[in-house]
Amino acid sequence: MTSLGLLASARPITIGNVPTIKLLGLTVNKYDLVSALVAAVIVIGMGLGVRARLTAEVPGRMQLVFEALVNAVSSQVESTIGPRGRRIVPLAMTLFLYILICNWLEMIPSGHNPQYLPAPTGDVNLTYAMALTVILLVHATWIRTKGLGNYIGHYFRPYKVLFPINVIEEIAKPLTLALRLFGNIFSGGIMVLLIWALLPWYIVPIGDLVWKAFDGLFVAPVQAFIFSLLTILYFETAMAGDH
Amino acid sequence: MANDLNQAIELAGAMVGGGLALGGGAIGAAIGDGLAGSQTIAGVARQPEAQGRLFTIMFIIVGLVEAMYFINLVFMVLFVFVLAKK
Repeated sequence: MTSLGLLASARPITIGNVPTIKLLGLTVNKYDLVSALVAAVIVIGMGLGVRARLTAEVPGRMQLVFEALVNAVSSQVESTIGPRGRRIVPLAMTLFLYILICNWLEMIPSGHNPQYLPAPTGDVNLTYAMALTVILLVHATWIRTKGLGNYIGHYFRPYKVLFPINVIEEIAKPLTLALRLFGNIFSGGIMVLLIWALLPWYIVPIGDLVWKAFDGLFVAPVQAFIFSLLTILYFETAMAGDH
Repeated sequence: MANDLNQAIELAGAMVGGGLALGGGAIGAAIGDGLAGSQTIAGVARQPEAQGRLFTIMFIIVGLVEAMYFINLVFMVLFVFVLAKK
């Protein structure tokens, strides 16, 4: 594996060497698993905390944030799918919140080689798993809502000749869903690495601040939003769309 | 020595391929973002009240367009760091 020893850095920068452990015969990236669990605990903790302090009188800040989020996602789902889409709202909300917290974990510096709390969405395995789960749910809902005949027939509409293109489109959906999120977050991590390794010491803090501000305030919410929005759109073609 | 030469050629090929992937991706992403932005500006110019909704759609399109660039970036990392053995 090439290391960037050719450039003007003091130590070689290696990318992609992550400590792994073996779980049930599978090789798992250790610290990505840990930070994925940490993000899950944070999201579940926030949800349970808001539920415990749920009040109709003067709501706290967390409750206001959650209410705004649920309203936004609900209105988006209703405007896209219609009233049948109410089952999708928890999925879309969970995806948005979890991906957002995962992306924000990149902001916390936690060492390099090994990084103890990397952004879990910067690991292909997590994004592939999420994309596969979503796409499997979409296809299952499609078959259940429209029937098996209609589902197979959709590959041949509007023209039978377009069958390979339709198949490629269905394969490209989970692939791009996963790689879009992975590429955005992984490149953010590499950028931080390069800033710390290559820039002179008096520029590093400002560069770090500027890049992390861009990454955390723009890339993280936009990518989380796009993942959940695309999920809603795929469910729309599965439940209510017509070719 | 022949092995060194082979490795050097592999590394050079990987670097050039990675550079091409990044260059093409950057051009495509920039043009796509520019198109989305220009239509947003035109829309806001005709109807300033639609600014909020047009902004939202613009950010959605920017996110989707940049995805192509980042997928290219992933392939660059694949070429340079994985396929060129050193």
